[in-house]
Amino acid sequence: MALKVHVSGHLRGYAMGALDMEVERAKDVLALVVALDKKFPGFKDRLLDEHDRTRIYINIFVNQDNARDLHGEATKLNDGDVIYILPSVAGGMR
Amino acid sequence: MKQTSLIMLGTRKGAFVFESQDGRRTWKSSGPYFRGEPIFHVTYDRRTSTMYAALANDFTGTKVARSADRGRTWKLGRTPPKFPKGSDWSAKRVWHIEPGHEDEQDTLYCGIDPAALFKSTDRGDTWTLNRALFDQPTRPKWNPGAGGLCLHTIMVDSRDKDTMQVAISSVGNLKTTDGGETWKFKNKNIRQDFGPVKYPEWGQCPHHFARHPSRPNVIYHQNHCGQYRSDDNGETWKDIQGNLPSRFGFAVAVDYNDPKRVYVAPEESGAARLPVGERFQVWGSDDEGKSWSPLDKGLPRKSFFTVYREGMDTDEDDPSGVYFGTATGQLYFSKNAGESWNLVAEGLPPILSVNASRA
Repeated sequence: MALKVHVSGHLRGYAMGALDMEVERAKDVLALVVALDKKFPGFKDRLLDEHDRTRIYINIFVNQDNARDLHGEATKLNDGDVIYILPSVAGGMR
Repeated sequence: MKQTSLIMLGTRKGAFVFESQDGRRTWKSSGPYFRGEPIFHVTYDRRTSTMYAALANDFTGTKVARSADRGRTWKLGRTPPKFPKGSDWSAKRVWHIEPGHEDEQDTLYCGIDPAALFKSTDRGDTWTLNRALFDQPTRPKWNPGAGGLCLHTIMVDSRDKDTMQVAISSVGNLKTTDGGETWKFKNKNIRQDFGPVKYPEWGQCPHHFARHPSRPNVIYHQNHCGQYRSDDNGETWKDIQGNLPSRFGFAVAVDYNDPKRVYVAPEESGAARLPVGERFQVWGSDDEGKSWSPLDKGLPRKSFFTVYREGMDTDEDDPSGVYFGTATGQLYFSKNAGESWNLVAEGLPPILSVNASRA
C-alpha cells in the first residue's frame, strides 16, 4: 500500500500543480522528499535546506502529527500513512 | 535592429521589467514575475543576453532564475547556492548576482546572506562556494548589520579575471588577486564610527560601490560612515564627504558619459534612515566628489522615502539616464544626468534593486 501525499498552497507550483499523489513506500520523511524530488526536480530544495533540515516555514505532517514533533526528517513512515506538506501560515511584517 | 532600453526592478513582491524602444520617451512595463516573492536583485548579462533574478523566499529558500526573453519566461537554476554539509551554515538569500569576466561567458558570481561568495560556470544552474572566503579566520567574529550578514557587492576587474572585490555588511571590503584563493581586507582610511576603533582593519559597514568601465582603478563607495573614493583599485580610500549634508546613505552611481560625475542619496542618519531635511534629494558631483550639489528638480518638496543600496543606476545613453527606485515603490528617471526627474511608475512594491541596461 502506497503513501498518500497532499501538497498544499504555493508549494504546488513546485510540484507541477499536483495536489494529491501516491508514492511508493519510503522509509522515512527524508526518503519521501528524495522520492518526490525525483518526480519533481528541485522540490527537495524547496522543502529542506542544504543539511536536509525542514525549512522553518515548511511543515510536513505525518497523519495528524507534525514531523517536527516526532523525529523530524527521520520520522518513520508506514504503508497507508497520509503525508501533508504545508507552508506555514506566517509572516505579516512584510 | 531597434535598441531597447531596459530597467529591471527587484521588489519585495516580485520582479518588474520596463522597456523603452523610443529613446526612453515611453516605457512599457511587465511583471510582477515571481508574484509575491522578494527579489533582491535583477540584472542583465549582455554577454549572453540573459536576465538573472535573485529570489529570496523565506518559505522555499533562495534561488537564482534566468530568462532568455527579457523576463517573459524564467527558468530556475538546477540547484541553489548551498553550504557544504557539516558546515552548519544555511543559505538564507541571494543578495546580488554578478556576471563574470568577459572571457568566461558562462560564469556568474553571487553574494549571499550569510556572507559567502558562490561561483557558477553554467549560467546559474549549479554553484560552488568560495572556500577561502568562507574560511576567513576572522569569520567567527563577524556580526550581521541591520540587513543581515550579507555579501552584497561583487566587482570583477575587467582587466584581470583573477582580481575581484567583495563587500560584506559590518565586515568590510575584501580583495583577491589570485582568483579567489586568498583574500585581504581593504578598508584603509574608512571610518567605523560605531565601534571603539575608528579605523580598524575590518568591521566597517560598506553599503554600495560604483565604477566606470573606462577608469577601473577608480571606485566610488557609499559606506555606513561616509562617502569614499579609491584611485588605486580599492587598495586605499579617500574621504569625499565634502559638503554633502550627511555621511550616511546607501546608493551610489557613476555617470556613463562622464566618469567624474557621481550620484549619491544621503540620508539623515543610520538611526533614522529618512531623507535629510524631510526632502529626498540626489546629490551629484562633477569632480569625483570634491564638491556636491543637490539634484532635485521634479522631486517632491517634502518626502520621507529612501533608496536601498541597489536602488540607483545609470544607463549608457547620452546624456546619461539616472534611475532610482524608492522603498515606497516609486520609480524616478532623469533623462539629463540628474538635472530634472520624472516619475516613471508609482504604486509598486518596495523597490530593492534598480538596474539599467541596453538590450
